[in-house]
Amino acid sequence: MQSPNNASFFTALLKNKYIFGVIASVIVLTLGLFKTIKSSSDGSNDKKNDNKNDNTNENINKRKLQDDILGDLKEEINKLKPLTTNIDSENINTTKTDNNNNINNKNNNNNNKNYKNNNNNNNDIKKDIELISLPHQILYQIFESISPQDFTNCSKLNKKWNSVLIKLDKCWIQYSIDRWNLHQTYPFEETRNKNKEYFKKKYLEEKKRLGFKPEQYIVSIMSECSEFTEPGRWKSEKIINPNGSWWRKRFVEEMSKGLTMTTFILNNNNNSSKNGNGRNNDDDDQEIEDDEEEEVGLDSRCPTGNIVLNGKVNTPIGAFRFIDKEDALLKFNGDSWLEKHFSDSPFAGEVVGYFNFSLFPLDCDDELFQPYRSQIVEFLRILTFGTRGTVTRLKTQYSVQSIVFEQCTLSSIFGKYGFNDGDALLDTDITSNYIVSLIEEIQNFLDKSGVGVNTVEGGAKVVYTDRTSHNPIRYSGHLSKESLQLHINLWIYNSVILQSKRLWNRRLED
Amino acid sequence: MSLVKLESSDEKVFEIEKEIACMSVTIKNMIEDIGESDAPIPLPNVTSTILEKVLDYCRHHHQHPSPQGDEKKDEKRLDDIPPYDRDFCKVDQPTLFELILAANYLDIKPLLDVTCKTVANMIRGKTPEEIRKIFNIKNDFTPEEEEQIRKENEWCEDKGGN
Repeated sequence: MQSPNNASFFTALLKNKYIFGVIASVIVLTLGLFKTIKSSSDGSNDKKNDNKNDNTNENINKRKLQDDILGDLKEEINKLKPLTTNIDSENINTTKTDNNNNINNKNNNNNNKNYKNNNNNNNDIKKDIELISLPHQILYQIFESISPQDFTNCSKLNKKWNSVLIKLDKCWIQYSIDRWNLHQTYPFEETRNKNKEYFKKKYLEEKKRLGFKPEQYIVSIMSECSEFTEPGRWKSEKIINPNGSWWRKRFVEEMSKGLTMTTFILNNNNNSSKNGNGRNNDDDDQEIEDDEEEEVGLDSRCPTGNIVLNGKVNTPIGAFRFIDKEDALLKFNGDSWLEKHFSDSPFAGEVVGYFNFSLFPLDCDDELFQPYRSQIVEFLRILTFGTRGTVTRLKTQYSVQSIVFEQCTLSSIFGKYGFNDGDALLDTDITSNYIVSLIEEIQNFLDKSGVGVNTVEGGAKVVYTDRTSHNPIRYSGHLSKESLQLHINLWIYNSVILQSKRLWNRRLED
Repeated sequence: MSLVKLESSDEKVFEIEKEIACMSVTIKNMIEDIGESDAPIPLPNVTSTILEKVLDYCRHHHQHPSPQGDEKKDEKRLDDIPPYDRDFCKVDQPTLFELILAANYLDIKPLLDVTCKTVANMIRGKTPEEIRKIFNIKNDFTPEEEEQIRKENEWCEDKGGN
């Protein structure tokens, strides 16, 4: 029988006041906790069981509890994010996507079990995303492609943007490195940071130099342009000063030899914010003060000037500016016309620079244009022929090449009026590379076609005559009518370039 | 062509060709780690809406691959976004930012590049006030603070440049 023993046990228990007190406390606490849990899980019971004050207090507690839980959940979600916004900007360069993926994958694996619980909160996050809260690595990628000016504009937006962008100021240095291709000069981050002032100065210089409003047209000046002066005149200049101003000097000298109605007047003041005719192109432009002495004339980096009528220096009909190849790439970066200025022709060579110009009468109505027609036609004819470059109307980006690889019939290249009366030839000097290779090419074609003197007796032989002001390319021997209809591809001057209404705003020649 | 299943954060499962899915380096690595499996690959950081868009992008570029040389050449240019990509990025800002995060998480470099370029283009050439409007940013600087920041950045302020 156990009952007497049990009775004695409880009697002993009752006698022990301490143990009783502890048990009572546990029971009371358990009941209280139970009530709390019950009331939080079933709000309707609160109304029945509790008074209004209790209800309010419990609701506040409940909200706090929910906020705490949401806060915890958000923290969890933030941990799940692939990259936290706390990534130290110092590590940006070394922390690349691959590394992050490893981190992400680890996070991913660790959190796979929990992610489903957080699903419903992802949509809430979407509302919270703002650009500046994106991971620094992403911000770095965004901001390294914008200019220092755009970058500093962003740091002026508000405190948060400012504080984040202070940490990311390497972005504009990277922009500078990319823009000027200084990767080899400054391979290390430390040297880059030490040269901040240099980058700033370079940026400002460039901004000043390239801050101009371009003229209406641009033509590329090719390394193998026509020579109106004696052959070989520029050979030594090219070698002595390959990256300098030789091409500008050559251009002015060669053009001046050919022009009879117009001439160039260089501006002495190399002020890049001013246009060739001395007027300020952009009303908002203000001069940037520069204490350094600058080279003037054709030795300066981007000389400007006016195109004037011979003998009328104060009546400019146009304005011009020389632009370095490197500067053109920076100034017109992204413009599709730039690519069209590269030529495959061995008689053009590489682009050495650009001549950016306006001819004011071209934009005027016919009444104002006609008095200057002959001067403009002569100027453009010599310009396009001499430079062998591509002309682009910048407003429309429409481009036409000065020299073209054209399919010609034999009948159109021989005889007095062949090659458009000789106008389509890139050169007429018998000693020039062009004429020598042209004669050789045509003769090879005749021979391959079985009508040349080297393959058939009495066949045609290409000859050159200097006793004419017309086409010097002729042939001796026999060519049948059918043979004269054969086609040959040749590099020639685009003698119809002035007929392009789309380019010049009107047909300059019929 | 074998298929893989991808599960978005809101438990939607997408079935897609493995080759397309592997345009994401993250997914490619996961497949390599896990091996062939019928179980969907969980992508806890990408919602179904965004994942669907990302997969559209991958499908398109899988069908119309761009020459590799061009990608490298135009890495830093902002004005060379192809028409499809430009249209693809014409979305509201939260979606665009989510796409950026997804591209980063999934490690899809072309998508990350194009979305970042889109954002950079939204900033380029704008005044601070215009940028504030675009991104709905409230200026919380005091006039004194504003003046101080202006002075700090004075060196590259617009003085008639391009």
